[in-house]
Amino acid sequence: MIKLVSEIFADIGYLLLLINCILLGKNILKKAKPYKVFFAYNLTMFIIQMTSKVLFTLKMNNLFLSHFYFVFQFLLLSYFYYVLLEVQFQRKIIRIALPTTLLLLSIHYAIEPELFFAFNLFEVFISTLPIVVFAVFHLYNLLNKEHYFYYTTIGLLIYLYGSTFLFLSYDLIMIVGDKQTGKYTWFFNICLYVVYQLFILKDLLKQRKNGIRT
Amino acid sequence: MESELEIIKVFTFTFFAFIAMALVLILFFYYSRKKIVAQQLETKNLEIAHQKQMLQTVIQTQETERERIARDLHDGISSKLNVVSLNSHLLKTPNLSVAEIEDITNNINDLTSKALENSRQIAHDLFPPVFDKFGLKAGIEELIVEFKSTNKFEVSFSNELNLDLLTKEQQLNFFRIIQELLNNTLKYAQAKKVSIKFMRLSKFNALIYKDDGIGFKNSNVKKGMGLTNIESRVSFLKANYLIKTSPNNGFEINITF
Repeated sequence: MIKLVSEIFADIGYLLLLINCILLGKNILKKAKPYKVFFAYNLTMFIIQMTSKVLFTLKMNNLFLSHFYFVFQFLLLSYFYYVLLEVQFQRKIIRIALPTTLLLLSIHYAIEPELFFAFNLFEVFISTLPIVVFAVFHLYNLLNKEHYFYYTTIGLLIYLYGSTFLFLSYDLIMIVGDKQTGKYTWFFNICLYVVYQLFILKDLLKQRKNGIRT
Repeated sequence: MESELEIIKVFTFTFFAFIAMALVLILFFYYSRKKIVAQQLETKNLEIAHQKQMLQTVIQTQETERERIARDLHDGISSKLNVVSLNSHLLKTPNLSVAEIEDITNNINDLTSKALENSRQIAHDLFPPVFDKFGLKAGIEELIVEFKSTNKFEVSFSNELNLDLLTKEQQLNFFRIIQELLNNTLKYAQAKKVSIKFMRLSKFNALIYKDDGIGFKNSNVKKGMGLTNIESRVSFLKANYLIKTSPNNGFEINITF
């Protein structure tokens, strides 16, 4: 039952992601740089998720794709906020955090290369925390300004907080519980993803209504 | 045993991860509060500066007005009375012919009536008696007649409100605002038509003043004394105002109350 509901939700999530990609991609060349980067992010996520779905259907191991997912999410969202943020101090933090994180991840994989085919807690955390910080920077900057990528950032924060909790607890559940319990984690994660996509959609529709910055 | 160790490892990791993420949020709230308070302080300071500026303008206007009254009194009355006093002294001169006496008395008569007329004019300028006796509507109508007599522009006036419901003080403020607006139009606007409307909008009453003159750039207008005066009167009325103008597109001010 939970599996079926999860799959339906997952498909809704993919559909929303596709809609967001289309909305973002329309006239993309004329749009401001943050839109371009955000479009690249959404498109990459869409491709990774579709590949993962295909591999899953073919009953192949798709766990290694999660690394691409997290690393690309980290890279593209870092760049997205780098373009979006205007305060020099914050941009400097991104400039420092980005290579540091990549370096840490490389060291980690160099020490334990077998983790590449497993689910990596350290990777989840280290690639999420900087994004959370950058997103919070953006919210802070928006305090006295017109909302720009506001809902996207809020949705992202909800998703990152929720999904990090789920990913981290997944390992615990897998040790203590059984596979069936793990499905709940998966279900909640899917729900969060749908919420995140809805937030992005709201932002895009709002910007469409108000005229997009070019 | 191994699984227990694994649990502890994962658990510790999860715990610290969450502390770190919570810390980010706490810092965010802390700095946001700081930023908001600073912002509020800045707004308040701006407000105070604005009020100070308005007060200064009020004082300045008062001074110019005093200067003007002093000049009017000096030019229009004192100088004439001086001549009258001189002339009356002349009357004391012995052996004056009838013709000379006649001449001097005529002169005195003439000057006193002029001084009288001037003093009436000064009093009228300071506070129009029609306004005092018959209220705002009559005051405005008289004002319009005066401005029309300059032959610079046409003025139309319409009123849907019962202006007598306003207090005397409010009426005076509106009167002064309209006077100031007409003065501005006369001085700067090169307008052909002016319209003054008191109307009932859905939720508010409004005074709408329009001219078809040369207008000005609203965005970076450095408020002169005239506009600041209007602004302070509007704030006395607890009303709001909106100015719509741009070069060559006339001028419009909506005061809602």
